[in-house]
Amino acid sequence: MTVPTRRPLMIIDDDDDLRKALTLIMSTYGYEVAAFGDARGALGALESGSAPFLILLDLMMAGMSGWEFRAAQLRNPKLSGIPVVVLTAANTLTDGVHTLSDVEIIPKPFALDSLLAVVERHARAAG
Amino acid sequence: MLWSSSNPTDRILKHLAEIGAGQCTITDDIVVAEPDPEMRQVLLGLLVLYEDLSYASRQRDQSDAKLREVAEERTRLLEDRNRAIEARDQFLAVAAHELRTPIATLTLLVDHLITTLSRSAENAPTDTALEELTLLKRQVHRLTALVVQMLDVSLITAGGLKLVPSRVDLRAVVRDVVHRFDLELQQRRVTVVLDAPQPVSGTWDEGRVDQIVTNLLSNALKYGAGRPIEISVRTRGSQAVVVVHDHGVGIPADEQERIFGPFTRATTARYHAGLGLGLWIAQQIARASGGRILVESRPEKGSTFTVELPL
Repeated sequence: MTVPTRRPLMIIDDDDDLRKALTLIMSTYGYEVAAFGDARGALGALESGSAPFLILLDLMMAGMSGWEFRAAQLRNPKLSGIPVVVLTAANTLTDGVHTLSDVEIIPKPFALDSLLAVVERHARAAG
Repeated sequence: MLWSSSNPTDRILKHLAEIGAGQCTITDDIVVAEPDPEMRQVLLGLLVLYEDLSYASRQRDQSDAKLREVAEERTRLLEDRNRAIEARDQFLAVAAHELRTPIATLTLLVDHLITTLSRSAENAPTDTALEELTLLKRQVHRLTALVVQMLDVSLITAGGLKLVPSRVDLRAVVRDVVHRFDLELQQRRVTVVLDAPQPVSGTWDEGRVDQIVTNLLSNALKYGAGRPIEISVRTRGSQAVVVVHDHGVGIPADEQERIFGPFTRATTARYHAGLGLGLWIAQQIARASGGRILVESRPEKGSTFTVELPL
């Protein structure tokens, strides 16, 4: 498969193993991956010019949480348009996941196929 | 009349009033000193009545105190029980949450390994390796299903299920579920006879209805002793009705109510794997959808689970 965009895929997840697995797998599908274990580092990279076509965002992270990251992203007009897909182990109905506006939510665990489909759709849209 | 007192009736009434108020001025001495033998009998009778009454009243006070003690003990036990349930639910929620991320990683890696190896010509895996990977994948799916059940429990106990209703054809849902069991049915040589002559449309949460049917079919397969399973989908009055009928081990009459409780299973199910949560979750979903699940069963004759959902 050829990746329809040359922009990177940003992954923000503080679970080392999951982040590594996602990076390995997405790389074999041809995506250039920018992976961050902390949301603040990711935000810094975005502010200094990295323009991913999609951000895969974990919610419950030590330090800056996914919610705080999303709020900061939306405050910055240069970054607010970057689509975000939330990958979360949080309970989607009781843990305040629904308070996030305008994001797709994929509850953990998820099948590789469904994640690939979502990422590919965004890659095409960014084309 | 031989009353020595000028007004014996007044005297008796006075004593009765005293006794009624919980006291008595009659003493043994007064009784002995009473000159009129009839009045003496009456006074003695009144004294005995007073003593009987105060004895009964003391008994009542004692038993009231006992009752209060029992009630307090009961309240304490209830509080303990609630705390234990709360702790259990909290543990479930935390455990389910913590398990999701490693399972997500496992799922991704296994999916990816299988995809890569079965596509790659040079690194073609041996049949054994592929079989092992497929087994690995099945274990990950089992783990996922268990964790999802635990999550459902914490969802239900944390404030009820939130359903996302849409127009659904129940027959199509049941067909999908049966289709998903194809491989397992083949392996166990079990046939499913589906009697669903018409589409049955209603407004329900499709994923949750799927979950109910999946649970019932999975139970029928587990406890059906390898005999055929019959499923029907029909409308009855204002209800959509799915019936799942097996010819297996069955459930004793005194346990049929209990199997819908959380963490419970019938004694006939003792040696089968599982958390004992499936039917409880299914019943909670049915109730949240305005319906219910009923069971009829006889040991060694099989079980019939009937799902009723409002149309």
